[in-house]
Amino acid sequence: MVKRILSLAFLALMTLHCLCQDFNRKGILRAQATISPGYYLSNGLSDITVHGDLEYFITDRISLRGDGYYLVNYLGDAGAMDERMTLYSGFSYYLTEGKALSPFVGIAPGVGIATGDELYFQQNQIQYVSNEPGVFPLISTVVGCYYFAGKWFHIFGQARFSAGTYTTEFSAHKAGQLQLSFGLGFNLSTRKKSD
Amino acid sequence: MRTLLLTLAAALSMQLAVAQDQPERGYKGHLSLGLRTTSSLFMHDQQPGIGAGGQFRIGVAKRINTEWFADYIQSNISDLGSRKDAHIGWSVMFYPFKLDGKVVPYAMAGHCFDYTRIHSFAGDVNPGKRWSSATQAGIGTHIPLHDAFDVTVQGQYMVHLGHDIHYHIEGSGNQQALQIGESSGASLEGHLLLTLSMNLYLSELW
Repeated sequence: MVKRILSLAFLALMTLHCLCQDFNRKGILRAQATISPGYYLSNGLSDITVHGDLEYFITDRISLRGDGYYLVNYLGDAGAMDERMTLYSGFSYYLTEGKALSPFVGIAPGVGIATGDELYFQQNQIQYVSNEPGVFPLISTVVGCYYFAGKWFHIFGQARFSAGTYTTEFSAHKAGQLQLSFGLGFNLSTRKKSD
Repeated sequence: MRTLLLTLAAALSMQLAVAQDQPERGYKGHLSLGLRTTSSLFMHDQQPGIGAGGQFRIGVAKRINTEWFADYIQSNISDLGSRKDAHIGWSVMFYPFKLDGKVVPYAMAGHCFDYTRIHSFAGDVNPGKRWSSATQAGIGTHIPLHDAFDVTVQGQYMVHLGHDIHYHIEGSGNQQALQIGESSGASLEGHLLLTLSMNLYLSELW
């Protein structure tokens, strides 16, 4: 019991320490690559994507970022898209000023490129078609948090909600997802030492 | 009524009076580049669409800016077909109020070209296609989050002039099908566009 209380107290102190640590994000260039599980909001399917991003802080509280996701595989049943790549570009707003612990919200329009094989029924026959790559627009919001643990590394966790529809010549499939990403990221400062 | 009009006139005068002290250059010579997300609403058949695109802006005077944009919008027609619109055009933006506030409202008007393609998922219906010319007008506001970055929200009504392209849904339940028709006569078709964009200021050109 005493050990548990001491452990909790230690954890609380460490959290408080993290919250109070100063870190000026202006001029920071950060990047990461990770495996991201995704959940399709329309049909409950799940997939795994490789997620990479690049972000630059134009001020301590505002950053510009680009994200890319590439489909690796589905978990369980397969979806309509055999191959899919989505790219987003937008900005994020950070809720704390000058702190290492950096919760944020962001918004980013994007574009998806996907291919998929499908069956369709025409003239009393089932036809099989391999679709050409389809391009579809997307809109997304992202919420997350970074902890800048030092000059070169940070820990991150984020969730992206996206909305859009993948359309082929024969069908439409809602492509909106909830995608989770977490892991270790890398950062470096582009500020001059005099700044 | 007279009191209301006098109050509105006084408020507008105060805004314009404050504008005398605005930054000298305003938007003159500003070059910015941005991305946008667009929602197309209230078309005659009530099918909303989502789109993405980009724009750049060049300021021609202190209170006049120009925006040159392109976007691609996709709409799902009741899971029976799809409509795709691509716009490329330009707008002129007029800033009647303060230029250095937390929001910078503007009125806008412009012109664009549009390519529309409607196809049915049934596969045995010819797609409808057309090029059209359009005019648009609306209002919006910049929300400057930084000297070099702003978020812009705008709503505009766009009216297209081109040959008629229409579609309707026939049948019911699982037997529904999308029928597409075109006619050579000119027609007007309007829709409301809501756009959220993010813009990065790059340079002053002059």
